[in-house]
Amino acid sequence: MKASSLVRATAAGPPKPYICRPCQRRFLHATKARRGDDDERSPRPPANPISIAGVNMGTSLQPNPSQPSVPALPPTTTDPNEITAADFKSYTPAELSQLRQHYTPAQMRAILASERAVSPHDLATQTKFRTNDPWAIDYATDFAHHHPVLDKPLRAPDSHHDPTQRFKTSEEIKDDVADFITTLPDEPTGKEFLDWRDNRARLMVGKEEAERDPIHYMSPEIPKGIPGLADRARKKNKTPIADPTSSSGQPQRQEEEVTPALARLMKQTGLTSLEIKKFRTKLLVSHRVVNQTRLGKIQSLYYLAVAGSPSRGLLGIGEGKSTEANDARQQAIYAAIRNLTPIPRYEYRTIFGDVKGKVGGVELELFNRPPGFGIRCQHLIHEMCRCCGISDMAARVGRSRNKMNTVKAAMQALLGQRLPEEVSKGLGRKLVDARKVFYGGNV
Amino acid sequence: MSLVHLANACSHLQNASLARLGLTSLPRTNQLHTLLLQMQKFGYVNNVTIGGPAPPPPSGIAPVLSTNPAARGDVSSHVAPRAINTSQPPAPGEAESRDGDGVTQANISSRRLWIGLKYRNQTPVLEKMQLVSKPTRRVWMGVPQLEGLVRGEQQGYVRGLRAVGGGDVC
Repeated sequence: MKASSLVRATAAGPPKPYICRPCQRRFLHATKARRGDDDERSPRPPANPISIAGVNMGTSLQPNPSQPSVPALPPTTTDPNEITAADFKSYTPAELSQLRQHYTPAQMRAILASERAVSPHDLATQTKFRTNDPWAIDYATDFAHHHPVLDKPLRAPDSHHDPTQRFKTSEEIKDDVADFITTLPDEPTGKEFLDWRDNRARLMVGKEEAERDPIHYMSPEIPKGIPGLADRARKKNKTPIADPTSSSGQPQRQEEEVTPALARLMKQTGLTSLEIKKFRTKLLVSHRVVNQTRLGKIQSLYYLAVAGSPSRGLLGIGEGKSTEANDARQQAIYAAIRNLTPIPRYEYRTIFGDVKGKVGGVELELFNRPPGFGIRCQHLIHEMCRCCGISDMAARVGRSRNKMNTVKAAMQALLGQRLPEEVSKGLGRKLVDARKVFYGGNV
Repeated sequence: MSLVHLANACSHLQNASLARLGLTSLPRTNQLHTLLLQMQKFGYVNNVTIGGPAPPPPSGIAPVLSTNPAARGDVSSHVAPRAINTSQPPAPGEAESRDGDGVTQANISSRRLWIGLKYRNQTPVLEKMQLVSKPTRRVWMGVPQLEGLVRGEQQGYVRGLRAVGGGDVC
């Protein structure tokens, strides 16, 4: 992205750089937009005329007598989007002879070949500035160079990452300086120090490239394929961090109190308390219920909970009722965990086809949706989808919208999915997933 | 075109499936015969045979190869007896058979289509069958609309096939 420097140069006046024709259009535009923003900057003559992408000059340009080899850009008052094919004229013999002074015969052949290859009509029609479309960029560039602020960051390879990297201690830095002094020639000049400081001295211990050309930390991602890194992460997870307060230095895990209800659940499901804790649970429905007896009304609290595992696609619903709210909540959650069942998911994100469910007056429909659609459902079904790891789905709940029955009907619908394999076996015909075929199985 | 027989066939096949029948019959008309042969081709029914008021013999419905390799050479063990019968000259007074189905002018009125229904995991393969075009609201569709329907798009009043195994367009 040398556009800005070029723009400044052209805005300030001669000498003008060589710019390829399509770029001219962009720079023209930019010149108009930015003129006067930094005129005090001295124009920088191009060190190498072919350092800029493309080599050809538009010959509609007026030759500048003071700079015969560097023709000027077209008048900047021209609207870049109004240039026609007639503005791009072929080289005159005088211009060709000028160019021959600069370029080797091979380069000249390339210039003339590229000149023939690009028609002026295409230049006039296809190099218009995009201004009104959503993808138009708001800065001038020919995309020949990378701009670290405007463009996506260029990443150094992952191998430039060193997880063991650390700053040098002051002792180590002292040693480095001592080494430098011992290697000084007899009559040192300032140059040696500058060279050492800029090119040789290091502040970090570890891979040199990790310090000199590190991977981009503006938007870091965990580098993959670095030997040792995965092991370190695993080790870190396995060995609990030592509690500094414990006198013995032994890691102390806080022992959870296992209630009788939890113990029963663990026994029934064969899961550990840690695994049970990891399930995603949500209380969806709660209300007061009353039992009328001859002794009077006995009030209880009713809860309906869902539990699930988004990664494994499990979902369960459970109900609990008790005079004590806490007890009812716990009953509901534990019942939900006990009822966990796998939910078939298409590509781990949506359901197989559209399904219907009906419980009581609630009649609902669940619709499968394309990737990135999101969960556009009412809140209860939304929570269920979150619990079982469905990320693209729509739903319509008709007739009654009773909360409890909505959850139950959604569960019924999710479990009522017909799987393509089953249908295929039933029909005795081969079914092929067109999406998988189209994407070569990469979906 | 009357839709009465088609509507009746739809209801009858659904009812027979719900009752878990293995074999059921429908009137032998060319329309139903064509429809059911297409359904057989797409795998919704096991077999379609033309028979009389009584169901055809099992060998005539679904000839199976013997598990005994030696017996496989014997054609009569796995070819429908009807096929053997039709190779014989028709009985005197009986018109010539058509299409090798044993249908003659004398017995054509009493012929029925015998349909073997399919089940898998205690559920019928043919769960639901209904008319799209009804006498009160006829529906006509060209190939582009049918293509859209198969892709799951709604075409006019007709909802697209969006369920898994939600139907076929024959």
